[in-house]
Amino acid sequence: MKTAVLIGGYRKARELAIMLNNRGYRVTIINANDEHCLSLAQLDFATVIHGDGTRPESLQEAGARDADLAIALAPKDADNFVACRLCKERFHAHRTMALLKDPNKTSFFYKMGVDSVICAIASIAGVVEQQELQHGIATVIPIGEGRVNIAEVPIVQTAPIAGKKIWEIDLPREVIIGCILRGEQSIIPRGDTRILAGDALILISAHNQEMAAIWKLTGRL
Amino acid sequence: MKSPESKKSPDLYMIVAGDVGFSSALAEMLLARGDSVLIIAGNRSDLSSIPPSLARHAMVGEITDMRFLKEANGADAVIAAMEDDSANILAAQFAREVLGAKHVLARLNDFDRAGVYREFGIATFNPALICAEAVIRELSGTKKVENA
Repeated sequence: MKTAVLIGGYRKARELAIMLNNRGYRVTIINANDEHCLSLAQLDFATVIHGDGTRPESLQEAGARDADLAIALAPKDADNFVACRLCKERFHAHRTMALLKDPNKTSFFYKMGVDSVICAIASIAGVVEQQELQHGIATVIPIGEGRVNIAEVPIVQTAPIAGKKIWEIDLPREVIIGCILRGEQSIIPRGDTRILAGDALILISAHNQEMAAIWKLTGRL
Repeated sequence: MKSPESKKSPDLYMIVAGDVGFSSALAEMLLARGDSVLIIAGNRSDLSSIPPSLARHAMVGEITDMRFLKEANGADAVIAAMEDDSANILAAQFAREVLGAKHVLARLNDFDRAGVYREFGIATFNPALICAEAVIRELSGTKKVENA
């Protein structure tokens, strides 16, 4: 039977315990709070350990040794860091996961061997970024008191111009594609330059033509 | 907020994070030795209780904040002496692995956790133990005098 140790986090631990139990895990929960322990003990399938997940004795008691999953859900990043490090280094848990508040610590947690770092802020930022991409437009910078706009337009697989040459695209007269950003390269396009999915186009447009141009290029606004 | 003292030629550039009284006392000793020191205060009220003579060596920040630490890059030593043991472990480990600090020292409040620090290769000092030892030294000194 697969085993999971949940460290800290009262409500999160409860919900996750139910989910993991349904998926066939034997779940142990470590919690430092008396009342929370009593309440968690009502989950008849789970083992509840009253203890501190940043201490080896508690983790040992909870069966962290060779556990398939160790998930640190405490409110403090540092506690989750210590718990995951101990589970990994001392108890050889197969997979460690840490909840993280501060997105700037993500790479450090990974560097120190945490297998999965879950950060709500980073997830939200990712969703916002995705939406901006889906809107087909990342940034528009107005210059010359807004008479001219410079826009960066990502070209996705489904964009109508993906795979076409510049001269095949029917852009408004007041709009030019000034540059194509392709990976590390930046290409000053000519009429026969082909636009590929994954490119980002730097668009220079006058007289508020950028929206019409973006629509032509990406198929949406 | 004052920026930290520039780190031109002193012997060591040390970052001290933690309890104000301890940080200030340590900073004074280090400065007297000719080292350069940056005290990191956890919040504004901590910062304001740092002696005025040390104010230009102190700033508010979080020792594990990447953006903040860019300024502090190149530290030779990092002393993590906060209330929270886990925070000290994280800070010390971060200082060594990411900042590349040569000397890393963490305050250990909970004695039972000594093994954890050791396991992570972090040198520690325990204020309670140091106090106790100081008292014992004092007492044994008295005893010797009495015996003599």
